[in-house]
Amino acid sequence: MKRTILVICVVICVLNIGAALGSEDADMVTDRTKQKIEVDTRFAGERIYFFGTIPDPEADIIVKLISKHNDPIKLTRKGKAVLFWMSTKQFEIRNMPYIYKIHSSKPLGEFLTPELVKEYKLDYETLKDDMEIRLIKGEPSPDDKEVMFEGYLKMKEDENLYRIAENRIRITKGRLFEHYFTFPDKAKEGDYVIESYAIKDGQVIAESNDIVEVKKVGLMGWLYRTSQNNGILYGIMAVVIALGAGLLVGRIFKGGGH
Amino acid sequence: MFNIFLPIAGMSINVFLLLGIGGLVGFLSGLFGVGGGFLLTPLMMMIGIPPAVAAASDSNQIVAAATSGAMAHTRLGNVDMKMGLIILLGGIAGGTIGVQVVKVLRQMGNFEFAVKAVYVLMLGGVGGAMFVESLRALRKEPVQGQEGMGGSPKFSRFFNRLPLKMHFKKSGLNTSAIFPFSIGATVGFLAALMGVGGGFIMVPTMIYVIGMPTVVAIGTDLFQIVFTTANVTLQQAFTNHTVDIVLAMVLLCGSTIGAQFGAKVSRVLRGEQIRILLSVIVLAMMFKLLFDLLMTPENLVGWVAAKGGH
Repeated sequence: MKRTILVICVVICVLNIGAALGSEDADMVTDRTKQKIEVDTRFAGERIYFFGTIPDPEADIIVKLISKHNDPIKLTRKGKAVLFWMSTKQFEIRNMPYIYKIHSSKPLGEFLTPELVKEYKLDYETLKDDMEIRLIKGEPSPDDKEVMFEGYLKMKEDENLYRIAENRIRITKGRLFEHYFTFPDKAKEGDYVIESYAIKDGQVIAESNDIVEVKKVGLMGWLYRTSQNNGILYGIMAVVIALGAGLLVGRIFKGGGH
Repeated sequence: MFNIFLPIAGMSINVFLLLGIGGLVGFLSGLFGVGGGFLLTPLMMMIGIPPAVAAASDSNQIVAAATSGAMAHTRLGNVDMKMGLIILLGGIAGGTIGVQVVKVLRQMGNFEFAVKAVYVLMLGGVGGAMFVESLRALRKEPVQGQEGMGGSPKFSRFFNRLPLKMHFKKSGLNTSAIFPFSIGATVGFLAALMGVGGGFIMVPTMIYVIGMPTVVAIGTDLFQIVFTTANVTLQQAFTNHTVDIVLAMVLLCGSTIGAQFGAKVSRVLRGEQIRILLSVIVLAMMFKLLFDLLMTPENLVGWVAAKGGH
């Protein structure tokens, strides 16, 4: 059902935009099933379908999802202090996207050249090259960058925020491509760019960008913003609600939860 | 399908998992007559809630869970108000300092380590003592000084020499305010760090060290827990932005229901059996956490807390 609607959408898109712009500028048209993801009580991650036209039946498709907001982060490296494992070093890491996902229509090695990978930042190695790492606390060691990058990658992949998946893009009759990205529950608020590239003979022959916005809305959004920006109000509210709930529970059960 | 998004933890989680854990902890607290806070924080950490959010939200949950009990005990006249207020003064001081220590530890990236280490010490000490004591009781050996009112004579002689002596009518005691204040501060500090009410330390201390009657000790403890944990909740929300009220309320639902069943089962079991069971659970949790600290972690890299979740 979803797929049928999608195909109809794409056909309409292609016809309309193709007619309006003329074939010259419309070599690749992409769109998505949703432009805004609303995070509320029931949010548990969301799949957004992406689709687009392929300018050349022999072209391969690669799509990169990347977050626009990439604040510096602080990470620790754990080490053994006497008997116990604890944080022994601290680093500030810059230039790393919060979300980074790649989908392709074929195994990457079959159509990407090293030059393309580098220019369009299409693998983890290029991320590592861009990573700025600064020791804040502790003794430096030569393997810091390596270990920190690997550990960071593992955390990100575990939360489904980083992923490289080959063969995830389905192509219909060499004209239409289609796939979905999962925006996991840990997706932060902000804009996400979806860059689609058509590649033939080691060259990008067409590209197109889409934006998806993630926003916390409703009660969850309000609670989150209040907790971060107005801690006193949030704290008072938390205590008052807890006292109220406690009294209510006492009324109902005459014993309470304690 | 049955997931709920926790706004401060910044993650989605199965609501029945939370209700189940809340229910289990409530069941145990109904069964044993102690708050289950000391089990709740480690369990929350195990299912992936960030440690600081787990501790702060548990404090929030305890405010609610202790309220009705505190009201009931106040109505029955089981609260030594004067004693309670002095302990509470300590509790607020300790809790406030504790929250600041949490902040520093999070900035160091060692909050999780500190919480687990403190848990290992507390659970090991309390669980071990309980285990030995209930084994002795099961073998029907008389335990010295257990039933005596007025605490052990050693302690009361020591307290008599301390300044700030006061008369506590309800407890029938004439003792210095310094020790109640200090124990309040200690438990308040632990409440902030561990997300517990601290009844498992406070009640035995009140009975065996200060020398308060058991019923008054329990009533006064619940009274001070409400306000100590309310203070911790407020301070955590203000300083660390880690209180997840949605998490707290779902846990409350679970623990309330669980407590009803726990209270029913407790009427069937003997006191010593209950205590030995509790000590086994406490020790099992202690070993699990100790194991965490000793084993090579799965990932050598971790987050340093920014705001909220991480």
